[in-house]
Amino acid sequence: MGMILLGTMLLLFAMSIPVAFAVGLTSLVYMLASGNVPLPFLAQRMVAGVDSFPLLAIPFFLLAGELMSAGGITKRLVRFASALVGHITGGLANVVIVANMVMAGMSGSAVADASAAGAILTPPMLKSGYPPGFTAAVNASAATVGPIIPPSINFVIYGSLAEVSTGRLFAGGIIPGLIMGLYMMGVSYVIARRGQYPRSARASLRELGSATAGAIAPMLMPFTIMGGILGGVFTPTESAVVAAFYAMLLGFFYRELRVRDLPQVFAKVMVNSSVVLFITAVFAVGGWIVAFEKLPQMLTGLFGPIAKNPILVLVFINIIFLTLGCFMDALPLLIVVVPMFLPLVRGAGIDLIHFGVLITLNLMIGLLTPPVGMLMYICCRLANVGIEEFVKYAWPFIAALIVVLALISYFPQTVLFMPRLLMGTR
Amino acid sequence: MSRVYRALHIVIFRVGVLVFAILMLNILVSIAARYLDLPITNIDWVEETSRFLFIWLSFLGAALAVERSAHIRIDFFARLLPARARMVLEILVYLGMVVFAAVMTYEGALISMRAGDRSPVLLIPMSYAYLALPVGGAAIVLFALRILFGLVTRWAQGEGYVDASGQVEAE
Repeated sequence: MGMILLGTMLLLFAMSIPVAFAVGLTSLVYMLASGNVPLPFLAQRMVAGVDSFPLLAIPFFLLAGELMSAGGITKRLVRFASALVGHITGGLANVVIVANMVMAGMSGSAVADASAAGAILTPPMLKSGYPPGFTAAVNASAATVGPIIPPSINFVIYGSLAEVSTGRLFAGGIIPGLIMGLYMMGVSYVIARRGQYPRSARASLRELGSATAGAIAPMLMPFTIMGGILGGVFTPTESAVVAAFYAMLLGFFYRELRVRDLPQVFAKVMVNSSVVLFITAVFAVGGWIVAFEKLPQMLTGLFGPIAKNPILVLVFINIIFLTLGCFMDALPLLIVVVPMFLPLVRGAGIDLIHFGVLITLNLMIGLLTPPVGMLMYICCRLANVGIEEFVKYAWPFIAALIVVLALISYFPQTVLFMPRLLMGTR
Repeated sequence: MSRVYRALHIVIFRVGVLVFAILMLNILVSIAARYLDLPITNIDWVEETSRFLFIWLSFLGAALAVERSAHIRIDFFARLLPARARMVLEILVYLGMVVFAAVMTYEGALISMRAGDRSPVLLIPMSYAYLALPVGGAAIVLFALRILFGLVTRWAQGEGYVDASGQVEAE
């Protein structure tokens, strides 16, 4: 039965039925076929699936990101980043990476960051003569730090699925996020040097000063979010609301956001978050069935003798998810497939915080790899370039990110050091 | 017919945005209350109303996402099909969505009529939370039916599926 169920779901996915509806129809088929699960269960579980205070952080982190770009905050951060690193070899590519790292500290979504920063930075990059393929590649790759550097909606979802502390996940993402940024700047340095790409003139002290002054108010936000969560001042959900509210006030203060813009912004965010939340709701029905049919245990069985070796388990899981990531988006994979692997991960003695951070990085790489990759699509469209051209320039970045993934998979300390330092050993 | 859809869109849009705004205000007030020692310090109260509003937000948003074709799909294989076959597949996709949303509406309506339990703190009937399911579900059915109707009409006229990028694929 379990295999038939999995087969039905994969068939529906392949038919391009939206993921949430495919999972829902599979559950429906199961309930009707097995006859031992009453239908009202479906309705009850769907509501229970989103009846969660921690998941409430999702719409508000997305709202913060949307208000940042609508309210002119992103623009100011980009200006700050260009004054800071625009003159280093790699020029605007460094600006893209640094701007994304700073934005990552306020918004929780790679896709939102890529569209916001990409829209601002792609035109000047093309105009200064960077190859379009490189422009798209660096914008897409840099956005992968978004969900690793806290806050992160991926961590919020994983935290609620794996029942671990979102705050610890947030803290765990800090070091891997910084490593990713440095590695990618290294890659762009090498490519830029070889290709003789232009770089900006060093910003005058005055420009650096005024750009920094403009960025101070937005830059307080990441510290408020992390400081507030770590200090127990507020929960991750409350920090998301505070971040969104702060971004809104700044937008009004900069006079770039008007009250009458708000309904459209809210509606857009509502749609984007419901896309995730509806999958979560429907999966609460399917997730129960998966457990019922003992699919996770079957998976552990499949790993057989190596199921107790954490290194090998991580190697295989990373390969499986990098492959799946080529065909599926990160969030459906996170909600639908990752939970099936959790018993295996737990059984191998892998720390669930460590796993959460590394699997999120893994799924972010999936957003860059063809044929299906959300970040790739967005940035290719912005730079008006084809996928082949993108891949030509993106592979060194993808390779660098895979090296970082291997690094943080092999050394749990890279993830676990910060939560232990900031929040004690549990 | 299009006037009915216009009205439906406006209602879902406005109620959704309102729910979102109240939700935000609700949590902001609770944080303020905690740090400014305002008399309304019962956090359970906020958490409960927030969860009710959040359930509504999720299902109303899911309906708007159907209207905007925003739900995540894996269209890798579908893109390989010729335009006419793709059109038939697209019709099947929307039929599948209508079926699931119809079950969701029916079962949601039953459970919101039957559920007698109340929330622990405010004693709000849980029916009000469950009601989001049939309302959101019915809106999904209606929005999906409209898209389905358009697809079937174009299929009957012998047209192929036009991809979101706006290019008509060669047959």
